[in-house]
Amino acid sequence: MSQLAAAIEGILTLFTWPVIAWMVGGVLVGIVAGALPGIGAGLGMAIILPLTLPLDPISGLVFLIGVYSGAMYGGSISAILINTPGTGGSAATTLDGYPMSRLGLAKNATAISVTASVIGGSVGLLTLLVLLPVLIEVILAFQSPEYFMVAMVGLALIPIVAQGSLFKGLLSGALGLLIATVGIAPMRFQSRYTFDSLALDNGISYIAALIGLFAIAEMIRLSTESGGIAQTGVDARSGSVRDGIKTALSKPITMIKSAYIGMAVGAIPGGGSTIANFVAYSESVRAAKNPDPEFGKGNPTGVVATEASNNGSIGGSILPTIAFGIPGSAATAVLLAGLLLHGLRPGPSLFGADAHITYAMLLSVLVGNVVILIVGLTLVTRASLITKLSSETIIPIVITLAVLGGISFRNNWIDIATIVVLGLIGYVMIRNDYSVIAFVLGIILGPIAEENLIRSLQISDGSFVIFLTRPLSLLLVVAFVFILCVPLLAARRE
Amino acid sequence: MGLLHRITSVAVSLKPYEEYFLSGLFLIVGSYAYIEAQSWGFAAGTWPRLTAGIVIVLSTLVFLQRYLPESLRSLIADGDTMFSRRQKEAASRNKADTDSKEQQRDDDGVSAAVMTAMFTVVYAVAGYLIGFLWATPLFIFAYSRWNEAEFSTPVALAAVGFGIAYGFVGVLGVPIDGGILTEVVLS
Repeated sequence: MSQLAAAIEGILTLFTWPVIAWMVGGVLVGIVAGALPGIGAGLGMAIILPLTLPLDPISGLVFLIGVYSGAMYGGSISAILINTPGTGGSAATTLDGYPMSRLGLAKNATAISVTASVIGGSVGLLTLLVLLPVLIEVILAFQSPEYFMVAMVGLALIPIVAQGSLFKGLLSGALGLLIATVGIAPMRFQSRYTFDSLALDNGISYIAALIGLFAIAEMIRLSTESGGIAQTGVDARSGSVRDGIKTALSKPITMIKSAYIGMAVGAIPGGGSTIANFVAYSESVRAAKNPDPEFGKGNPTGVVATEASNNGSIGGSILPTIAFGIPGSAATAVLLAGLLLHGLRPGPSLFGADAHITYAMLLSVLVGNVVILIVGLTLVTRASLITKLSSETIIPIVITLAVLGGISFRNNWIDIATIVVLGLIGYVMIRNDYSVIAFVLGIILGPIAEENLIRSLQISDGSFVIFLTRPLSLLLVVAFVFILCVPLLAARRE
Repeated sequence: MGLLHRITSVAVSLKPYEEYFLSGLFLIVGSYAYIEAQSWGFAAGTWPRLTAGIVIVLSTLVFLQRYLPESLRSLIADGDTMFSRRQKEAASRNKADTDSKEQQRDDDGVSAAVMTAMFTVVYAVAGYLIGFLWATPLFIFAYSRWNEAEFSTPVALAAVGFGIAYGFVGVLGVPIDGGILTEVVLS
């Protein structure tokens, strides 16, 4: 199938019933999840993931991407109105968004946010679609040794770009890889770490692990935060939507530059929207000459930069997820789990026989932006109601959804135990600066990495030299060693 | 309440040792996994031995970090990575405004975390015993009441919870309407 035919089939698939309805529904759910502090894209998608099981693969994946895209925008609502980012990707939006609300410009700020989100997200996606034919050639050149090394590079990158220490990040990733070995070995009939329990033969469910580490750990953390999340006295009806749109459109360079920053940072495993929006904000501060008002005191450019970058990161983080199985963020880690759940393996097939699914997923972000634009500009003053929910209300409901979602996937009590145990351990890990995302990635990437390692070693009669004799693989080995050495070199320089 | 107070006190007193507890736990898990994997063949045992070996080395380094040379210790303990400095710089612009929001109740926070964790464990066990259809509203009601919500709020939330659980039974067909105890009683 040619790429053009795949793109056309992707468009046609997206606009069939009920796929389009799931996409719209996903965006709406995502906006609500994103606006609820403590929920956000990753957790929202993790809770919803098991519920997509009865859907066909395209509907399920389009729904998940809708949630992802909607949550990226939704996070700005609470960031602007109550100074509490709904998602990490909107953390920098509070810096100028909330001061704008306090200046009586809440509508302006939210209109800037929706305009920048939609344009930033669309710029990122369109660029990705233009580059895709070239990228596909590279992806199709990958074989087992390269896939194994890409997984290793991905795991090595995470603790460097994400917050936390290098050693603890690597330890988290290695633990995830080890946990993924529980159950029957992939290429031999050998039970591993099952304690003679049949329930463990199918291994630890990565979905249960995701739910435990993201949902339960996050809810325990949320319960420790003081005070309510609303009641700041900001009137969501103050200001002008039209002026907000005009302000956003008057800053095209900031918007496009921030979208590309988001795309580039989002493509780095472990980078994601949280880092992207801080980098874009820093860049807008650096580039500004005599800002009025000052940054941090309600400068609209700050909102434009952060919101264009977090939605711009969507395209960047989706590509490594579907091409190599390496997610750029917690949300794309869940998306990867969604691909596996629906029987799709990241890699060449998603750019060959199943390319129409890839195009349908990517185009759903573009179409989803239209939904965001309509909802953002028409319902935004009502959206402030979402932020009035207290954490005491959110916590038991989310724990319920998480546990019920976990049991509904395989009806296996091991999954409930996994959710609870990893939820508790995940909370203590977060408190002690361990990277939970690295842990999750280890669990998800483990089987892929093991299978490709064993297959590579079988090809080479057990020799690890195979990773050095193939040019692409050698390049990845060099990248892997370099990445591991970067923090050591930086520490030495300091 | 006495038991809760005691559990919270123990949790607070153990806080400084969390780092040792975690790295020690990971070291034990890694060591067990490595020893167990010794008896497996090449195809089934190579990967577990490799990952368990990495876990042993890294968890030993984290466990013994206080006794390592300063340069290595700071590398293990510090959180400054490629982008974190830029994040901190940007966030510090608005630090005065956000500080009050980000402050956490230390000991109260531990108490809330311990209670939320305990509620979650009890909820899972109750679901196993009587089924999640019935355990869900009980859990939500109890959790909300513990948070000192007015009586009507926990009742409304419990009803929402029951509706969600009923949806899993009715729409998705998940068998959560009974547990081990109800099976014994009914049979």
